[in-house]
Amino acid sequence: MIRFLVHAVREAFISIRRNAPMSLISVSTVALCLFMLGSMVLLSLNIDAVTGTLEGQVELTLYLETKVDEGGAREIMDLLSRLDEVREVRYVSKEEALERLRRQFGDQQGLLDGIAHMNPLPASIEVNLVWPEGAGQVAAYASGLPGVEEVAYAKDTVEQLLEITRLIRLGGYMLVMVLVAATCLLVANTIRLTVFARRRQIAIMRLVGATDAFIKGPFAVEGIILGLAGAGLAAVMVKQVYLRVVSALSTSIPFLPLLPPGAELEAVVQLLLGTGTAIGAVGSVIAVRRFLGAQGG
Amino acid sequence: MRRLYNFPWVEGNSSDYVEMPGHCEVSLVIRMVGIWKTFPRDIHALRDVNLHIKKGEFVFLVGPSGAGKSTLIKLIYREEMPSRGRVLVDGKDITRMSPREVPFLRRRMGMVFQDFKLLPEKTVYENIAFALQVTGMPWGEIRHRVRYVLGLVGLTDKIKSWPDQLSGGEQQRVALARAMVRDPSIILADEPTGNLDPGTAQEIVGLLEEINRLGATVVMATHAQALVNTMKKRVIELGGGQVIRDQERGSYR
Repeated sequence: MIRFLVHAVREAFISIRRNAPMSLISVSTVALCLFMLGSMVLLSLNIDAVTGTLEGQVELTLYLETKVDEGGAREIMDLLSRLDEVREVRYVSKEEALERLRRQFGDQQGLLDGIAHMNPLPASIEVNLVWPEGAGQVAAYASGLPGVEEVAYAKDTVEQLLEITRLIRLGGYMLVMVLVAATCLLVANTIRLTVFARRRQIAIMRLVGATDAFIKGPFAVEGIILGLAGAGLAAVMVKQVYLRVVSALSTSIPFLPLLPPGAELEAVVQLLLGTGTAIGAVGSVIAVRRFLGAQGG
Repeated sequence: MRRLYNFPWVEGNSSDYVEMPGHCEVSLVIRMVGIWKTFPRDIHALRDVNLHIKKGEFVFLVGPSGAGKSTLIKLIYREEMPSRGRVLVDGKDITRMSPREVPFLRRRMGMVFQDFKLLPEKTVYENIAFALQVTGMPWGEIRHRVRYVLGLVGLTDKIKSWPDQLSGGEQQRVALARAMVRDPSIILADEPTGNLDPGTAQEIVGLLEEINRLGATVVMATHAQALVNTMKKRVIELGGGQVIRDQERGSYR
């Protein structure tokens, strides 16, 4: 068994070296396909994050008159809580509102230093609804309450936004699916070509009494090595490109909630490595099996 | 003449790796009973062929192209299955063998072909060594054996060459070395001299005869009249898929 493994690994490396051009083509095909796949997965993860953020945002915001203090706000909140349509109310003080803005500005919060001492932001009450459809009634009720300056009520906007994000998300998933299929096809084709070029070799191996496993072993190892190499290349490219894109976008559009290059990126990298290995191994074994089965015996 | 099969491991039973058939008690090495081989569109390659080939025989298989010589040889190493009938090798019906056993059947045989069937991406050494690697033999013994058979066919100095750097005769000698490196009890040769000039052909057949003299059964399909006529071996003539002549010490016609 160990001798068999040693043989398979040795033969795989010899074969990669002696078929260098074909090996290079295989590696770059895998790398390119997986790079596109990885990019699409990251893109759709980000779309998910953005749409998730948008959907989770409050549906009603009651901006309070400046004369209303926190006690007055509590009274309004009690009234609102009694409504069936309301799930949750939350008080946002002037200081908290400023702090939030600061966070959104991220690195550029220095811009806010000028207004910090006067803080023009009003205190507000955020209202989450059980049914978005009830937003109209609640808004009408709330705007009649004393101390409420204005009700920010963007039902149409929110619904349109939801519709758009749904479409974007769907498009992203479909794109990923199409890309996965295309990757598999392209890689399978490349592997079939390399194995086809060696069908004579396979025939002779069978003639001298090699078992099927003995023939498949080196091809499987070769597939794993080439798949892994391609995936590694793709992973490096995806990582570099994503780091650059994130740093570029976060300076130009600071409040866009992009995923930071952390756990998600690592997961994508691992996904690529796993996919590359699997595609290489499974693809080459399937391709070899076609030639093994093609002959009598 | 060099002595073939004078392997240190043949006399004793030192080798655990090459499965030697128990052919001592079976005198019929190859037996065909009522063989029919029909290809699609009702092409009858073989019709009711019955054959007995005894251990240690040297048999020429002659006949025009398309007479069924290659098909008959392919039946023996189970590259083809008969449409009807049985093929027995060392007393075992190989038509009932499972596909998993086929590699082990082939390891007991050595095969030589008109087109040599060497692997172009492997060196001479690797081509011969491969026939032993499939049996899981340790590389030390492989190296020992390969050097030995290369010496027997007189190609020790070509050990690191690639097949396409060799002449046809040299390539066929490599193929012959590969065929005998496992001490097979049967050598199957399908027109081994078809691509060679008469002198080289004579050399190859000389090597086959030497292997045969040392105990291996040799079945050789050929068109080379002169060779058959000078050798005075058993001649089986096929015509239209049937055995039309089976003659001890025969000639081509």
